[in-house]
Amino acid sequence: MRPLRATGALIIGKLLQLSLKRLGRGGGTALPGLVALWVEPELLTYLSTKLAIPQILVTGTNGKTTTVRLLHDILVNSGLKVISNRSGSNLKRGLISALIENYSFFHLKPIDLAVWEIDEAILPDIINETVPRGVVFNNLFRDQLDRYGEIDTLLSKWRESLDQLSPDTFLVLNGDDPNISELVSINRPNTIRFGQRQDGDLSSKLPHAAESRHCPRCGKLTAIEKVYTAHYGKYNCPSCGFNNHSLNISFTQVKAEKIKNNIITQIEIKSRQSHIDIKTSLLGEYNLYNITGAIATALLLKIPIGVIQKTISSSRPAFGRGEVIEIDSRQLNFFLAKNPVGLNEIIKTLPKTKPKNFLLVLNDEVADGRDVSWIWDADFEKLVPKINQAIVSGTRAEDLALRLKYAGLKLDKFTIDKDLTLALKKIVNLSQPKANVFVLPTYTAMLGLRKILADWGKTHQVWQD
Amino acid sequence: MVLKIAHLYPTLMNIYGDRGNLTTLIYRSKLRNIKVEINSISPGEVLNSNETDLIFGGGGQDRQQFLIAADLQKKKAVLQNLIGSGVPALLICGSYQLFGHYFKTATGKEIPGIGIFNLYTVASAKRKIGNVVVESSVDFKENPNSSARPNFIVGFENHSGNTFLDPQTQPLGKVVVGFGNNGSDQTEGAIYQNAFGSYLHGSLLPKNPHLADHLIYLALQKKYRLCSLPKIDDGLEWQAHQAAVNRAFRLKKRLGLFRF
Repeated sequence: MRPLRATGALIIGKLLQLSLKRLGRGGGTALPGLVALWVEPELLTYLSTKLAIPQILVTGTNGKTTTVRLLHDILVNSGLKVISNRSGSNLKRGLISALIENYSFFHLKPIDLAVWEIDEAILPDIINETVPRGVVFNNLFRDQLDRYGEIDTLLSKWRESLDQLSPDTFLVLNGDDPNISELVSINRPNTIRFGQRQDGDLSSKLPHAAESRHCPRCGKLTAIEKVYTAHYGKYNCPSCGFNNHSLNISFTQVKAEKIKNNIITQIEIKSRQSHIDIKTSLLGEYNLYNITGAIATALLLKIPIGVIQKTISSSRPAFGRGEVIEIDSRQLNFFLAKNPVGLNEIIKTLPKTKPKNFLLVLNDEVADGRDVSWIWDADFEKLVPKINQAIVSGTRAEDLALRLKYAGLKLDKFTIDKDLTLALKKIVNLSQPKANVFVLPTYTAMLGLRKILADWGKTHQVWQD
Repeated sequence: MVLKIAHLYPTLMNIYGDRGNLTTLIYRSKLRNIKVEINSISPGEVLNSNETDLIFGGGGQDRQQFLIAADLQKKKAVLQNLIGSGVPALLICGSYQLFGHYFKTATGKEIPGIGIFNLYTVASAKRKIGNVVVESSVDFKENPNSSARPNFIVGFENHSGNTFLDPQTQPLGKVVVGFGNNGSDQTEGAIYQNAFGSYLHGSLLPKNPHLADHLIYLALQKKYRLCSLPKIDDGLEWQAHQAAVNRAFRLKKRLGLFRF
């Protein structure tokens, strides 16, 4: 341990962060951390030891940001001081930048708890350095194929890391995702599996983006009792007996009703100890999983049910996950689209009313994933009937335009405009006043759009979230 | 006219968007009033020669390759006959590897292939990932481009396997941007008769309409003695092709950023 070097790293990082904010060059959610880590690579270990607070890690392919935001808000509403990398900067530099934010006049302000969103690829590394109180696993889908190589490699790295965890560390696992459910033995203590329990008709045919029709334990083709979303479902393997029937916490969809201009979904959360009614304005089945995961974790931390209910019902969508921003009376709905499963879920959530205007932006920067092959695995065929007019933008706009053409969209219904500012202006002008317009960008495209909107004064900057 | 495509192991070898290749073949055929029938062949199912005008296999992980290897061996004779008689085939990544002699994985296990392509693959520590531009060695009869322009194929690779061709084996082309088969000999892919193997995702066919049409042409020429494929509007396809080529060259020049 090198306390002097660590302090130096913090000071340098803090100065950089203050300068960046003063100069209006961003919120300092990544670069200060990057520089501080360059000065002291073991800074996270040092800070974890010094702070000695419980740290909760949240990882998975889709839903991390929303889950962290919900959990963070629940904990804050219960009176705790919580630190979090809320802006979705989920590499090590993001955690350090958040900690630097909390560093003032040469000491770290007191906090009770940390909730961190963690990129899947670096989870083992972060577990090592933080020795967490608990880890939450949302799901595992193909995402950014070029960044992670293969899913199996990631799974085995995770398993290795989890095997070394103290049995006191709690794990909250999405039990409906067989890959996640299988990460640890069913007998592991302090392990909560959550999922959906719904009766009624569900299709038994897996949509294309699903990749787990084969038993994650023995590899044989398994009978799936029920399919929820993508490869989520109730598995029952006739060969090795693997099944993910046993959930500790489950949610059941009760009803969805339109109240004023919002759709409010009601679900019931059941565990051995409790029965909780939850209302939410977040859309999409995937969000019900995020909510349940956050609630399962909050219950483990002994947060009162009333606080949980109130927080969830007043939660608004996180940055780019269904948030609505108004421009010239048009309502722009932003949905981050970064992998086939996520995009398929968004398409399912879109209203079934008459076709709307869309701005679709496909980038291939490092943070988006350089390989855009994934768009051919997403069901654009289901999106096409919902499109009135589309503008396609981004560094790989042409690829996306071609995908739309091959999905059946007529050539006169879409145009390519690689200038993002112009594309945004155009889609607004093309749309009727007060109309709902849908914006589906990849990650860096989302950041780019957010910056344009912040410059126009239409919204706050990402890091002020 | 009907084009019957045998899709090998669709539920197992389906991880890299390679479905886009079938989407492309179906779309481009439909515009020419050619009906397409896809026969999905899973392990244990029969590959019917009479029902196969074109063969397609996509990419998958090591685990899926293990699962299909044994079944592929059972189909070796049928596939050798079909391809030997001139039926066209497109094999991507994991399928491409198994149509060679063998694939030796990182753990040292050797997965046997069916030896249609005279090559073998060995897993390496370095993953070869990135945009690829290949100068094609294929003679595209239906190519709308004049022979004066370089004949490019553009895509994206992501593999740890290093594939080594027998000196007599014709590659898909010469690598201009990217690693290709093994990062050393500047070859990408392989060709045997009308079977094309490649590491390229993207998907491969949408941005390479000349290759897509070449496959359709080869299938229908053999089946119906088709003389030529009617031209269709390719403006957007070539625009996407060119944009991808430009992007590949531009990214090649950029410095790699380290990650923390």
